[in-house]
Amino acid sequence: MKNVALKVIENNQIYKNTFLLKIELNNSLTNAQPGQFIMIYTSLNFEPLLGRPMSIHRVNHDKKYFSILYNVVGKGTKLLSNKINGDIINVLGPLGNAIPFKKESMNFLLIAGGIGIAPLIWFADKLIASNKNVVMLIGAQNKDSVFPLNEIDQQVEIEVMTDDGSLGSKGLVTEKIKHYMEWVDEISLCGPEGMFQSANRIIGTSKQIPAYALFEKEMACGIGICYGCAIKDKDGKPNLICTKGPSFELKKIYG
Amino acid sequence: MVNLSINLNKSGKQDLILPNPVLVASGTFSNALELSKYKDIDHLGGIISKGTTINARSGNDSPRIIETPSGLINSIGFQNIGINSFIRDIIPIWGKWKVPAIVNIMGNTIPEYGILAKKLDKFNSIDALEINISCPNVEAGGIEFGQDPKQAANVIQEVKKHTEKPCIVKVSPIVSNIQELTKALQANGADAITVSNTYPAMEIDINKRKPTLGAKFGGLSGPAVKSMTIRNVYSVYQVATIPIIASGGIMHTEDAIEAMMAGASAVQIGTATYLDPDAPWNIIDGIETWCKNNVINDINDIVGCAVE
Repeated sequence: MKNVALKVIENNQIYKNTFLLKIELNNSLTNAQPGQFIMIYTSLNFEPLLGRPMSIHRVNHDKKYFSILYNVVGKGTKLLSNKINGDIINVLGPLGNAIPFKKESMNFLLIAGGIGIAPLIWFADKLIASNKNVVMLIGAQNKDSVFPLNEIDQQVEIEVMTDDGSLGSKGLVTEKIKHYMEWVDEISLCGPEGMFQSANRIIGTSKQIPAYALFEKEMACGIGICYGCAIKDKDGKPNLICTKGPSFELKKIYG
Repeated sequence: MVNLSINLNKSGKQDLILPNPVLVASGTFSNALELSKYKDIDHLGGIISKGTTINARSGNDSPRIIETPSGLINSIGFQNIGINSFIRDIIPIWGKWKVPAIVNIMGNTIPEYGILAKKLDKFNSIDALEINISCPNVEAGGIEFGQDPKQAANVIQEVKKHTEKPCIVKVSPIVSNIQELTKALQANGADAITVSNTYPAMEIDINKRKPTLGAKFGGLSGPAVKSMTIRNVYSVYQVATIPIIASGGIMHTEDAIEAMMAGASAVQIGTATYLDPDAPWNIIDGIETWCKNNVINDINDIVGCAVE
């Protein structure tokens, strides 16, 4: 596990406030799996001080790069957005664990809220490659903040929900879950915690289907030594998102 | 060959010799198991456990971390597995390592410190205890033990009753007179002193109009505090008869050298490890290179050399 300097290949604003950063692939990241993340260090002069934990969006083994999808929200991501082709950036990873799923499951429902779509696109790629059926529910503020749908594997069935109804139907992405409860074998979610809680209420009232959500919390190290990213489960027991997660089963956290 | 080894307990019954002056700060390295998967732990000057209490603690609610200008406020809330699990699950692993191993202990009451010391005393693989006195004294209404030299002296006396292991006392940086505290600690049996714990700090979320951290208050660390560490180490060195370990904002080799020139015999690396897991190892190599470049044959020669 080493903090390594890697070359930026491309860094473009692909929609609204969201950038796609492509970074050269090194040996350790070649083995990354969907759900894992990296710490990315936006500055080497302590301002800002800490790395930013970010999901790996996709790994392209043929073209030898991996990508990060991120919103510009603060100092660190602003600096990151200024990186250009050829710049060097420090990265630690892959960290955390892959999104778990059972080999025998066939029907997958992926639920993405906002930038939470970042790791699920790649997970969908992998599921389609294993001949699974994938439905992806995408929730966003409005049509401008929806990930480009043509960048998602064509075999994925997509439903979009926006807060203002400017694309797809109007409302919360979790409202769609009930239509798939008879069909689905496993559910994966990434987005705000409010979305997880609402999903848990809907899933919990129906049959018991494994539903794994990718959590995030303020995190200083990414490797299990700072204890900043603990999330308490339904019994009050702390779980470090970086080393035990980032995927946890909803019922483990919320009951 | 540069001599990097230092002795943190020259006057005590048991020596506490570190192969080099670089320790990892309590609470910033978990119990060393995570990094032992990737790194040679035995190359470190010493390891220090997470703050260990009588009972396991689940820690504070999130957010537990806030980034500040060149710094970091944490309020982890002493999440730890408790002394019995530590003895059962960690000590057998530590026993296989050669690295000097120090357990950081924290009590709610003075007798609790004694219980913790006694439980650890019988383990040969534990080389020393580090005593956190920057925690609320429940019996005295919540004032930190370390805020009152008399209470701090009582803690070290109690610990010493139950162990012959070298005892390092980790002090708070915000005390009315750190020299008086140092004198009280060394007069009552402290073998070394860690200067210091984090700086009490908080931030307000102006959108929510409330404290940002789940536990409201936390401790500031990182490059932002280094100059204050240097000042406190310098002050302590002027009255200390026991070795000093500098802790707070040491990010690079040069910071470690600076702290040693201010009077520290050893340093602790904390926040720097969050930015780069190799930091403690890089600083060890850096100190050796610095000594060679500056024709220093023994690292002990620079300790306190800047103190007038």
